[in-house]
Amino acid sequence: MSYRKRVPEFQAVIMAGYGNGLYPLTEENNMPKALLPVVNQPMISYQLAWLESSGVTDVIVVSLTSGSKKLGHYLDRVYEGQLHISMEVVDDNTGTADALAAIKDKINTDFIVISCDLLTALIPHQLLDMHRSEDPTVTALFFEPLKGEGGASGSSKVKEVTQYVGIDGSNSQLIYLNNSDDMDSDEFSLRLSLLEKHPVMNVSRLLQDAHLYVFKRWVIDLIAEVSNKRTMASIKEHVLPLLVKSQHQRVLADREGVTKAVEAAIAANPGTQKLALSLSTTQPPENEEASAGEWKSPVTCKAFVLPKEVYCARGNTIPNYFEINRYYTKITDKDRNPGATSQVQTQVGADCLIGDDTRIGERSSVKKSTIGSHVTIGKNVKIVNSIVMDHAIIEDNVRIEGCIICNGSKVCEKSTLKDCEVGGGFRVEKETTARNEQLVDFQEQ
Amino acid sequence: MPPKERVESSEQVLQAVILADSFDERFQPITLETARCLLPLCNVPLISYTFEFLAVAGVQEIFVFCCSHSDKVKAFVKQYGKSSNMKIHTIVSQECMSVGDAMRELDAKQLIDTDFILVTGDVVSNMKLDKVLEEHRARRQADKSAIMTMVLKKASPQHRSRAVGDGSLFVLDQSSKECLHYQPVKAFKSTRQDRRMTMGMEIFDKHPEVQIRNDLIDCQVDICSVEVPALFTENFDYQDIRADFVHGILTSDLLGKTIHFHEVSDVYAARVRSTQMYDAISKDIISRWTFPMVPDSNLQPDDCYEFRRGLVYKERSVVLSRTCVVEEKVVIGANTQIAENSVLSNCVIGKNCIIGANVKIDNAYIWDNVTIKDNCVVQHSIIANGAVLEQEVTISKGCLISFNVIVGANTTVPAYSRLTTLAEDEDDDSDATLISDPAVVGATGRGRSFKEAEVSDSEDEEVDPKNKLVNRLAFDLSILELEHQALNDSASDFESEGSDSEVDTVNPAEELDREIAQTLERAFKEGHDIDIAALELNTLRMASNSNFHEMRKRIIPGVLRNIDLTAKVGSGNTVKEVLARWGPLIGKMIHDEADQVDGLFILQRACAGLHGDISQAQKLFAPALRYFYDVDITEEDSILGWYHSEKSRQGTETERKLRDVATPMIEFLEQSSEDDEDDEDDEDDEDE
Repeated sequence: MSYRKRVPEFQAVIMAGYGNGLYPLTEENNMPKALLPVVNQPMISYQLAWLESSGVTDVIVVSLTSGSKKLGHYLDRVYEGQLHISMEVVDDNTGTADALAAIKDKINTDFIVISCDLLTALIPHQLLDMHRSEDPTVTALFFEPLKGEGGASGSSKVKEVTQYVGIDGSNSQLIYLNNSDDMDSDEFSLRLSLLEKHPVMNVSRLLQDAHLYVFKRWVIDLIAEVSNKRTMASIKEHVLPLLVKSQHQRVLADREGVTKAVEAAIAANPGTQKLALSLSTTQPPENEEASAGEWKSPVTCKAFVLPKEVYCARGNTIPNYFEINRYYTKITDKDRNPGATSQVQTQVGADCLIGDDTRIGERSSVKKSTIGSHVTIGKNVKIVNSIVMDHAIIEDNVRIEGCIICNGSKVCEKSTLKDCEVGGGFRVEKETTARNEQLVDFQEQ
Repeated sequence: MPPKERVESSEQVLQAVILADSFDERFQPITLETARCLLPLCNVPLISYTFEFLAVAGVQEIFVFCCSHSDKVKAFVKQYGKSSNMKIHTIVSQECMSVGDAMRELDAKQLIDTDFILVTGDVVSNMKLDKVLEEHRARRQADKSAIMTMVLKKASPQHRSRAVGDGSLFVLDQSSKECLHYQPVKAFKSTRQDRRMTMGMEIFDKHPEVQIRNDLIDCQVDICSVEVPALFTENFDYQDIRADFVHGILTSDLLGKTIHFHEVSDVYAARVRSTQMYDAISKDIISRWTFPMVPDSNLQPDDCYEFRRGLVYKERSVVLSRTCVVEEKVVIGANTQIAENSVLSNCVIGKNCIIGANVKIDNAYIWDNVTIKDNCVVQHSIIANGAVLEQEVTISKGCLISFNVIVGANTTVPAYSRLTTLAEDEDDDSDATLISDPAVVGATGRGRSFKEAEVSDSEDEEVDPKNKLVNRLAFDLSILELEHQALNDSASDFESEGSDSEVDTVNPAEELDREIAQTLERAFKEGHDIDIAALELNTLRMASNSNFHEMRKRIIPGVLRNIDLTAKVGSGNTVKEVLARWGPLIGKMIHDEADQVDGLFILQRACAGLHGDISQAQKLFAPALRYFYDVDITEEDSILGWYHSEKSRQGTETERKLRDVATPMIEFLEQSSEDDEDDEDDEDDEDE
């Protein structure tokens, strides 16, 4: 019996970006976005688990130079899953699309691109099956973000750009994408020819791009091709809109080389469809559109809209990161208080998670919070609605509400912090009172 | 406005208002002599279908609002009312010019005191309205500002029961069933504005998820509250219920009213809006899509149709000769006789008609008391009551033959003719005597061809003549291709030049050659107006599914051929005279810059083609170019574009020399123009 080398159906690329929206958590002295803990597990482990359950075996993690060491360490030494992971490092400030172009030669099949901050309860095959059965150029996941519980959500409020997403109501084709800031402010306008092809079009401003895409192989050639000509920084802002538009605009598709890229892909891999049809007794499907002399776009984009009851969130901003932690803390089936090194008279709420080797002093109370490992919490401390990462020290009589305390930082006694982010290794002097502040070491970059 | 307490009581009589008039001229000249709602559709007056539809919906009281030919409508309604349990009233108002006027009149008369159903007198539908009414009432209970519920039927954009050129686009909120935006869609989108759907961004503030629908047939069945007529009175400029009223309500922040919709999908609903729709709906009725409203359910008291195999409906008293062939989809009314060897297919024939021998009738609608004598051919046309076709008459497709017209023997009525017996001056009530036009109806005929009132209705808005054409009878076949044609026309046809001759099969091209040559010849000989000639040529273009490039390729040489270089001034054939007379026709075939450049290539080739000798050809070319420039058929940029293109340097020797002829002009142009070439084309503007 001979074994043939298994050709994977999809390769996966995890984009481990910097996390601009998460400053100061992702500063050099803390950790890169991919490693930020969600219920004391790095974020990236969730995508890895997701990919593993989808049946993908080969994963490329694309990391920026900064943070690549820590991430590399995690993937090499700590990660315990079955995936075959290789890491590629690109320069800081490289966009997602450019990063793809850089790893062009490593991709041989259709591929999944996922951002390292996406956490979803979506069962992978639901999305992948859509891609398999409909055979589009790209399948993108869209979701409607949950309304946060509001309040205590850090100091930096990043305003999300509203995106208008138009999806054909009958076949989930993604036909329109626009960001509010590229539009004329007060008019929403569409070509009628588009509506003739897609008579039912659902337009939503609630849906957001989840940064989870399944692409055809040739798209990466296209990206490389176009990025030679001009910058093609981001998948969301450049590649996807280009593909969506190429569905309807022949001139654009020709000019940007989309048509050429498809033709090259078909020439390189004729596929078995034709052979199958020639052997089959069924009539080949009539190519109605071509017979009408109409231009048929080589591109189709599909949107998978996540059902509302399925959880999905992106930890790309501090408020979102908060929400995710809160959500996963609620549902986690981990041992919530493994150390149990807390004293009598301490209160730990049921919706908390405490890491290993964490000590909590007398008369302290922890509610709705996630506490990392090796954290030392003093006496009479109150922690509400906060995230405390590993190795932090919180001294006596401290009040913390709505804060994120990064790795190895220290909050000295009698401080009161509300809605603050404390950077990695930062020391909050005693009796500090702060509200809505980012407490970080100033660093000369 | 009446007090609101009265509105809500559910014990009230369900009322409906039928607008019997359509306020347009699409069925002229037939509607000059009778009311639109009385036109027979499968031998039953149109309004009977509407009555039937409302009766099924449980309407107890109907107000029929009529303007033109109100006496006839009144008489009919009186007759109909006898056999119906509905109370039917007629309201006559001669002054009404629009739906808006009718609604204001309704408000003034204060006849309505509850929610009512508003329909037009040409609706054919088998839907039930109970759910819609229930929904509407529930909504009214909850929210007084929900003033209207539109019933919309789902059907794909190319559905045949969808009126071409009367499309509409709705933006809906599926969660609240609210209509957020309405926009009419034209068949030919000549302006950029026509080609786009545009709505206010602020809609998204309240409705984050909307649905844009282009697959709904709007047959104007509305459940209105009593505020609707009142709103028409308040806004006295509202004319159309959709374009003005719905649009006005939806865009107004002050009124704070909302309009809702109800979507139906498994029922039939359509409006006889145009002759094209008349055709489509007739076929639907024959094919029983409208069941139970089909001929054999005998809506009229005296009818007694039998339903036979092959969708043939026949009255008992019909006399068919032994050898006549009744193919499928035919309705034949009482006492009609059909003689030997005649062939009928896809047609409706009224009562008391006499059809001679060897007659071929296809796709035609022949009303009552029509006589068609031997050897006639009738295609895809409507022939009204009392008309007579003498022997060997051919009626081409798309004709409307009005009441009592007589077409003399051996006459061919050209396609899309409209014949009437009414005298020319219709405004004048004195009996202007009819002057028959023997050119149209033959020597022994009676009638004249009817000219549509020239653009009288378009003072505020420019109506593309093409949009008027598309909803005509028999235009439906080519319409699909047409639309794409129109979209691609100016941009892509120029690119495809050169290769098109291989792509096209030879026959249609030759056919088009011949037809255009004939049309031009006729135009030259009979001295047609430019507009008429252009219209005819456009018709040809649509009929042959051709594009403007093909037209230019034929028309430009056609016009040039008419020039006689040796002619004397005053003979009408010199270069100048011919161009002054017929140049505008070329202009009609040229629309944008690509067209202009294309036109110049054709001109270059045509001049060289007509006169191989450069000295002759340049006498033709130079003035023509000059003329094109002077009257702005081609603009500077296009001339320069043409001159500098590679293609103009190629071709035969004469062609190349002709380019040189243009050199002085180009120099002049280049001097006088400051180049501004920052017009980089916006990628969004290029249509596919």
